[in-house]
Amino acid sequence: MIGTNPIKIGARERVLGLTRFGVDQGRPGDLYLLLLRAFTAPARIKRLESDAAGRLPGVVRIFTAADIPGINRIGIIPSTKDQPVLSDGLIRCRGEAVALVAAETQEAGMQALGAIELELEPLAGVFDPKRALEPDVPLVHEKGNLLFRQRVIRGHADEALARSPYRLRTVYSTAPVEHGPLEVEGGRADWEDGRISVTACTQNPHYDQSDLARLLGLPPELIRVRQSETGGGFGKKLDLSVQSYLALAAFHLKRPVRMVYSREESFLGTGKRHALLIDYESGMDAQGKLTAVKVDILGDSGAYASYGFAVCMRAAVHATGPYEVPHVLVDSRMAYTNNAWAGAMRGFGVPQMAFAHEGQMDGLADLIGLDPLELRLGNCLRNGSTTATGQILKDSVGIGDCLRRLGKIYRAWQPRVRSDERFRRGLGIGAMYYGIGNTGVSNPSSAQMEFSASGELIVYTGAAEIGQGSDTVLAQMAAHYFGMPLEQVRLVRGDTKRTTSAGASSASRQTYISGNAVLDAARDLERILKEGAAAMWECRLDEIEYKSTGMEGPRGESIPVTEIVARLARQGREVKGNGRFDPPVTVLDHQTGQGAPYASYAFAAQLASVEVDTVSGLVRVPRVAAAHDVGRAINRRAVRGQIAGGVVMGVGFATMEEFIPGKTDNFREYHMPTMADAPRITPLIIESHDPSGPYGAKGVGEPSLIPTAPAVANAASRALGVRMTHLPMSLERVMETLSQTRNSKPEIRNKSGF
Amino acid sequence: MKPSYLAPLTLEEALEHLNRRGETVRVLAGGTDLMVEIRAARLKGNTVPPALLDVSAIPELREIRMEAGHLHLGAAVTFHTLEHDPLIKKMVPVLSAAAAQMGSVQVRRLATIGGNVGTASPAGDGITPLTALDAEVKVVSRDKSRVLPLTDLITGPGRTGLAANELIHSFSLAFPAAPERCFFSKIMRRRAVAIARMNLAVQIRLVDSGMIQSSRIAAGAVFPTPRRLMEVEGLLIGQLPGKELFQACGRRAVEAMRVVSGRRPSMAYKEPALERLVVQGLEQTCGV
Repeated sequence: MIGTNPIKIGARERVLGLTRFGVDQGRPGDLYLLLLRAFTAPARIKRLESDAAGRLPGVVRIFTAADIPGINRIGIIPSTKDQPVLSDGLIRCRGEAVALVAAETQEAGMQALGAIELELEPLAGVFDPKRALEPDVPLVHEKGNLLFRQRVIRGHADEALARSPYRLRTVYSTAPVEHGPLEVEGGRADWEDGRISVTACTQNPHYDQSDLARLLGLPPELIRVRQSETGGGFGKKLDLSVQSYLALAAFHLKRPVRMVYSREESFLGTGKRHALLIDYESGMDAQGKLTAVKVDILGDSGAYASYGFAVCMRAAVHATGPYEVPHVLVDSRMAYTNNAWAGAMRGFGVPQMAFAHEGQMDGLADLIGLDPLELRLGNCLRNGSTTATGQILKDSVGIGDCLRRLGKIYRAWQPRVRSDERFRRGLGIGAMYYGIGNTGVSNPSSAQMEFSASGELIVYTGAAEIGQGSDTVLAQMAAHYFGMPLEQVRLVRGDTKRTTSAGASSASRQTYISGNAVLDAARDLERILKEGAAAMWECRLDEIEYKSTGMEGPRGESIPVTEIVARLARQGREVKGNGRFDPPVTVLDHQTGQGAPYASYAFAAQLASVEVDTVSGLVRVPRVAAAHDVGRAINRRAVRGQIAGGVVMGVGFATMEEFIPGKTDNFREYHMPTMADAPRITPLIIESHDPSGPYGAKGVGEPSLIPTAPAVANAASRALGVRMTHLPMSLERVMETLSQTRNSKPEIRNKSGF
Repeated sequence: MKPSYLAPLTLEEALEHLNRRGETVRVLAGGTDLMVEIRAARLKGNTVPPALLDVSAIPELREIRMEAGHLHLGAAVTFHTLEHDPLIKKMVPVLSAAAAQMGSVQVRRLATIGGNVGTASPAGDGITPLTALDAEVKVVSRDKSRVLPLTDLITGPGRTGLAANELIHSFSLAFPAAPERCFFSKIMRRRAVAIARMNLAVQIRLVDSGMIQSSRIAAGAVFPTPRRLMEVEGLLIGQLPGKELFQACGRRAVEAMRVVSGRRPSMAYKEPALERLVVQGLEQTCGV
């Protein structure tokens, strides 16, 4: 069962078009919800007049911030809840929601939107994160423009750099990026049994429940959140979107309501990948060993905090990449601006950091005259290594194996990569490590398990399946534990009434953390069953053996599982196994960033071949080989699927994706890779067996994406003979580079290097 | 309000509607631009056309035939047909090549050449090859019809000289007297399903001696309205293909763009791109 390829649960329904996503939840008779958004930012609302609009035929009610009974501030991180669901009088960034219309029809709702009178007074804003942290600039929030700062200090980086024979300093920057899941935000809310029931696409139903309760000033028990089937998330569906409006309207109107964002709203109304500015200095000794890194990171959180705290911290912790660096000085800051707000997106700042640390590794390889793969192998983490935060990695450090597997392909591809007059070609490597789960905080998952009367194994999990395959992986683990076929496992999932919290489907954590919780529940259920049998047969617990056919006693007794379950139930015992897992981590020291922020790390390295068209500046990625240490692949097909999806997303991040509010806020203007842009991908699964993981598994959701952009950027840099320091490598940027180097021989140089 | 939808099956009926309703009706010929435009207008709360007149099912507008050394192409011929029709592929391969790069498979099934011209985008993938080939366009109304060069019909970015009661009927392309080499290339931000950042159509006749006898070159997203790059063509006539010649052509194309389109921020990209695209297009066409 473990390491096999069962078809993903729900795949058949998706192919047949039977799946009901969040956007499909509406039913006849539901009221339609629409938002009035403001497009001048920053601004103050001078006048908001909706009485006349509210009297239009078909319009049921128009809500503003004054209608929010609880606290009009949301955000997943408890200490930084700063985002109003409906504007509190200020428009801090473009697209902010001002008023919510409930109408009998979409048309009536649109009429009402047009009839609401909104007068805005433009204010002075700040749009550059660097400027935002200077004195005497407009404040986005009263508390100041610095959202968070995290340092990681180990050893004495400045002195070590001063002593290093090789030093390289480069400034890297990345653009805001949209997730672009096929399904936009959508859902439905109803009033049922005296409580509000919200069904919507989401990555975290239990968080939704708690923030909705806060918003409405209700106890959480009065709000039920059910995760509908979710058509992709990538971090975009971690923050609340339609859920807030659905719950608010259902609360006031006691009627079923439906809401679906337009694609443009989906772009405007959700957080983007943080644009980071990374000033990176590395030192290396004469033997090619990293001596020190000094990294200054500045992130743009836009107008709201969302996950800014987590991205700031995770970027700092991962700044060195998967290498041993004795002296580290990282200063990571996250600033508020009046730009589009940034939030969670696959990788939480690590894709940006990997672009920088991998650019440095290639730059250093050129400085010292070593092969970039060899340089990485000589510096990479291994079992027993200490990370930048002082954490000792005892086992399951698979980066060396990833690089060695890639090495064979690297050598095979090398002779084929030749530039000609039109196309400049190059190979590039990108490597990464990624801490599984949230950074330095408790982030538990829980699960329950029981046998039904007919002998089905029922797994209760709060883990949101968003297309990544957690349903299948968790069911496989449960089936494997009890030696049952997968078809006999049934999932009850993502419903705050029937399941307990599994935490977010984010941070590549569900296989590892919820997988462990499911195994814990399985062990608990087995214990309950054994106790029942032991009492019946008057023997010790360890004399009972569980077999897939039933329980067997020491004297040849046997009883089917269904019978022992029935017996225990008759005795009034609850035959439900309870499981919980919270990865053992330590909180990072606030001053030095030292600690053990994750219980497990995934490792990966990818190799990309790149072809730069000197006519158009288009960077094409014909091939990628992707080596991923996933601990253990529970479902090999699902791992390969994650790798393929991550690589294509990484190609987009590297070559074309850039969110510009008001300009690239729909799929006509915002370009993501098509199949024609997708490389041929060779997935290589490395299994290092993490003893702390369920059956040895770690995670792969984000790691699949992270090395791609660095590999592509390094390959393009090699092809062009200039280090590419900004993503995306758009037509314009590449053309500019080509024009500068038109008559020079390709050789890597660092524009901002020493 | 949602527009009302009319789908006449005869040209007469369509022209009657146009005559009667004039500016209150928008012609829909595939709708791959128009529906996007209407949706955007609705989202912004702007007015949308009260009625749509779908002409794509009118048989007369879907005709493709040869007549007296010309190819007749109905306005409602789809890009899918342009891409795959054997006659078009043989007689005007540059148009087929352009059609194959427009939109997606799904878009090409719907989008029509008349619609593409009617939208009059400077980046229109159908417009560039038609311009290179000196296409004439037949425009009809209930009471009259007129034939004019395509370049006269398009008067500005997104603007045509069509009267409110007029409909694009068909295009007429002259066949070359002798075989010609052709080339089409499109620069996009990704490799498919993207609006042209720039496109180029080239058709060249070489005589046996290897000399260039005739050339037609047009570029999209370079000028506000479609026009041939006569400045470049003039350099080529009577010359032997060669690198230096083509490089001079590239520079000349950029000069023409500067003169006609003026200096704008996008020129930092477009100047080198046009220069290289012209050189590459000529090299590939002439096999240099």
